[in-house]
Formats: sequence, C-alpha cells, structure tokens
Amino acid sequence: MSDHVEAVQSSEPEAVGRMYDAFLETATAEMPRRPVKHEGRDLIQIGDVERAAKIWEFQTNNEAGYQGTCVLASISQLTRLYGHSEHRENDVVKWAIKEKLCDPPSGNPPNYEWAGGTNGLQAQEIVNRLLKLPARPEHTNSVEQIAERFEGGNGVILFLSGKALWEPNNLTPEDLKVTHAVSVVAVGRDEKTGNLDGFWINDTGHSDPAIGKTRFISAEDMKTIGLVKQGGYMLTIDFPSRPAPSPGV
Amino acid sequence: MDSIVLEAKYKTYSDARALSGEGIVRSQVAIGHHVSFPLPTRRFGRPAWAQFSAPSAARPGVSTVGLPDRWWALDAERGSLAAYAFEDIVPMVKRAADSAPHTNGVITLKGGGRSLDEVKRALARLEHSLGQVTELFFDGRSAPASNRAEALAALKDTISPELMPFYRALAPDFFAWLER
Repeated sequence: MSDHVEAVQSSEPEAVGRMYDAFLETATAEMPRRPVKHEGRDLIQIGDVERAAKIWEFQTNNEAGYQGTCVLASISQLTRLYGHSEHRENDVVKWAIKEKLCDPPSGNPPNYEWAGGTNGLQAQEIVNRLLKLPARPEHTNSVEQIAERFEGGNGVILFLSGKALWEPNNLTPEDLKVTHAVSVVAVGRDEKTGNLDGFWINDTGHSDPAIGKTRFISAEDMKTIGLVKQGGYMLTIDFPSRPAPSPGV
Repeated sequence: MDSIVLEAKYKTYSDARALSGEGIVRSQVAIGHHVSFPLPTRRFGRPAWAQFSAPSAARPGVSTVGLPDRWWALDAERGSLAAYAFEDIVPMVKRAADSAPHTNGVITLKGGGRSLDEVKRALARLEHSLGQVTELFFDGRSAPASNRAEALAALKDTISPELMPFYRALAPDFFAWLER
C-alpha cells in the first residue's frame, strides 16, 4: 500500500482512495520550466514564480484575528496557486477553528499572536477534509528530496526556523528550531549540470512583500534554515494535476 | 566474520531531538510553539530526556514566548514516550514562572546578535559536552569536574536567559549534579 494512502486513511478512507486514483491518472502533468539568470548563475527555474508572486499575502488575513497562521495561510495559498482550491486564509482558519484543528488564543488576557498554530497531523487533516486532497507530513534529511517532491507534482510546505530565515545574523541558539512554515513555489537547478541550486519560497510570515514573496533560498542555506541536517520536516500535498487555471489568483 | 555493533546504552541528545521531532512534536505540538532543548533527568525514576513547550510567535524583529503549557519525557534507554502532560493537569515547569521575566505571561526574547554559523557552533558544543557527561549522570556516577563545568557553560551559552528558570525546573537533578 502506498505510504501516503496509508497516512491519510484514518480520516476518510474511501474519499482518500478516490483522490489517490485521480492523482495517479493525471500525475504526469509537466511543471513550467524556463532558463533564468540568478545572482550570475544560469539556472533552470522549475515552477511558476510570477503566478506565485500574485497569490502571496501576509498571514493574519482572517476575521478571527489569529496571527499564528503560517501553516493555514500557506495551505490556502499553495492550493489556490495550482487551482485546487478557492479557500482563502479566512476560510481555512474559520474551518480549522470550527473543527478544533488549530490553537485558540491562550493566556490571560488572550494572546492572538500565538493563535492559529497547527501541528503536522492537524495540517494533514485540514488538507484532506476541507480541500479533499491527499497530504502527509514527512521527515527528510535531504534538500534534494524536497526538490524532487516538488518537481514530482507535490505541493510542499516546509517547516523551518523563521528567525533564521528573517534575521540570520541576530540569532540565539534557541532560534534554530522549527517555528514557521513556508511554501515552495519553484526549484532552481544548474542549467548545465542539473545540480540543485536553491528554492523560491512564498513566506506568509514577513509583512514586507519584497521579502515575503518568491524569495530565493540557496540549497546550502536551506540545509540549516530548514534544519535538514537535523531532520527536516514538511507537509506534502498530492495534486491531481498542475498547473491548472485558478480563478482565485 | 561480521563485526557486532553494540547499541549505545542510552539515547543521545541528538537522538532525543530527532525522536521527539518525529513523534510528539509532529503529532501534538503546533508549528510555531517554542520547543525546549531536551535535558537529561532521573526525576521520573528512570533515565529520561525531558522537554517542555510553550506558545510562541517568532516574528521579524521580535519573538515572544508564553509560559510553558506542556512537558514530556522520553525513556532514555528505549527512546519511547515515558510521560506527556499539560501543565494545567500535571504542573512541573510553569511553576518557575515567578523566576522568569514575563509580563502577563508574555516573555520577550532578545535578539542574540549571533550568526547562523555561531549558533551552529554553540549547538555543536552543547551536543558534544552533554555527550561527555550524560551516560555518567544517567548511571548515577560522578563525572570529572571539568566536563561538568563545560556542560554547564554550554547550557548557559545556548539557553536564552529568559527561559533558564524553566529549564532548571524541567531537570533540577541534572543542574544540581552539574553544579555540585
């Protein structure tokens, strides 16, 4: 049995089985590829960065006022990017609150800055049940594996150190821990050798669009920021086909 | 003839981080929660690696952490979960809140001013120094004073001072052993 079918069986086995069948029928869709010059290097960019830039939004865009919604906002944006959902962050947050699949405000007085967090299994359940897509949390020790998941047709949400991403020269050792989630929107490979050069990500956690949207992270930096050497962690979503037209973009 | 590889007697610090990351953190702790470094302890009657977690928000410019809301311990021999509890059900770490610099339960962490490479070196030092003393601590034996001093120095270099009271509440026996 496929591991990802097994991984989602606990919620709605029949629905997931149908999703997986649909995925197998159409999983060969080609990712957009184009040559780009990045910091003087000739790369092949795999993925639609322009489209990803249009869909980027700063997280916290929800009626509940929850601010710790990096996973929920990333799920919304990534699935809308490829036309597999029209759910905005607000829709995902409202549903997650109703189903008790995200953290409520805690503390006295209630702190909304911390509200909206989900763990890997909750994120999987949200994608399965709300968006009707197969998904699974995965550990990885290889940036190449992350790239291959993306190139193979999966949506990839990476869990990483937010502080290392934003302020790599103003850290404490406590900061090098998983605190944030971002979406992979493209992969860059050396034009001649095909070696992995880096990733373009959409980061909903930085309010400055110039930094948050379609930011490039080298493969070497991702090994540290994404904690790949200590065991990286990601949510992969199986898309039935991609890219697809999305009226929500 | 094939050589026989003997398993280490106890899970290492690195093992404990990986095991909790793959298990309890993935299934129970929200992305964004602050998860402590694992510390060795014998407070549960057997060698264990203990950790706590607290709500938090990492943001560009400032990070805030709440009071710990849960703790857990991995059996240091098996690597399996030995205990997991919310602080409002089985209080253990949060009771150190009076010693922590919080305002209405919110602790603001100062920027550390260190680079990624410096942080990686500090973490490697912590891992190495704990590796020098942990097995002796778990076995109830003594360790050379220099090794204990180095482990304590590495902990102080690695743990944010604002959170140190919670670490001391998490593994008081280990700190007492290091400092005696």
